[in-house]
Amino acid sequence: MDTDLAIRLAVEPDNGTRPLTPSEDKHFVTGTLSDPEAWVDEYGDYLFRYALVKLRDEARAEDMVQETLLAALTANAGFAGKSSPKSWLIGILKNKIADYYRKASRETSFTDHDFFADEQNERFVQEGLFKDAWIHELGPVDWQPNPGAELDKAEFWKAFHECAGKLPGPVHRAFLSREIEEVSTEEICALLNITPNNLWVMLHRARMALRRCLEGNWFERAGGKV
Amino acid sequence: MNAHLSLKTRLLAWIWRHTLTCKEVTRLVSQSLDQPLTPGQRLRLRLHFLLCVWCQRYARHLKFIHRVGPRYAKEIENVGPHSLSIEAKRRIKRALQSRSDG
Repeated sequence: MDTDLAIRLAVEPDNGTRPLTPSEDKHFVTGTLSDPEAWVDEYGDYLFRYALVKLRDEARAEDMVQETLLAALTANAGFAGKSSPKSWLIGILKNKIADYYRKASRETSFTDHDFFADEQNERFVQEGLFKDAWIHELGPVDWQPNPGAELDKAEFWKAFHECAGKLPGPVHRAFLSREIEEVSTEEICALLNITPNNLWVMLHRARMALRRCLEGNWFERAGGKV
Repeated sequence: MNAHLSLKTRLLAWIWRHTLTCKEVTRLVSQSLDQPLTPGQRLRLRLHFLLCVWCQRYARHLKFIHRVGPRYAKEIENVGPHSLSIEAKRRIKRALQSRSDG
């Protein structure tokens, strides 16, 4: 077929604006990228692990791998051996994850979420002299004897994982970026497209919810109750 | 109006009115993990902790979570799956197949 098209596509990588027709496609697949189904076996797990670390959600990570490979199939000409297939695919995946974050932050108005309406109010005195003080019986308990010793137990991390997984989407992302990946608050605000004030509220509620969940699901069960 | 309350309770109430509420403390403790507090804020937290063991614990717990969080990134490998499931692989292959078939 016409070499002009091949050259044009190689010079101007298809950014997904127009999928290649199958007949065009055959001309541009070369080397390791020629068999899309083999990509799944070769790079699937690698992409999946990368996505999982970023998203902490298996189903979503699987979707991201699929979207990445579909985009790779569409934009195969853009590859043109400029980098290793692995780093090319990771590049696509990174963009997909960033897109996902942007989209999610537009779609979810976290301020009206139930999660934010409830500041665990039932744990605080409702009125009177000591309004907004902990109700003693419902306040934080002592995490004894030494919470640091829990860190080597796989079950602890399982509990941590489950508790973190209960946070609503945007809060989950904010929490993971800040507490797990240690990203600066400025960067998270830019990434999630929110104000510093929004972020502080999100982190406050996330920490509050996670603390409570860990206390209920792990420390009390592990015999740490006062 | 509080005549029926003991002196101790009234004293506590007086102090209470001049310090942060527990709810305010929970916000401030979280904030302290992301940015330095002003000396005034730190002082008010300290004063509150003198009176309130629950907020002391709350602060300890949040610091604990903050401290161990980064390790979660490594531990997740042991908690979660390491690779795509067979079904997921099959599904993705089907999607690729139908796309490349046009």
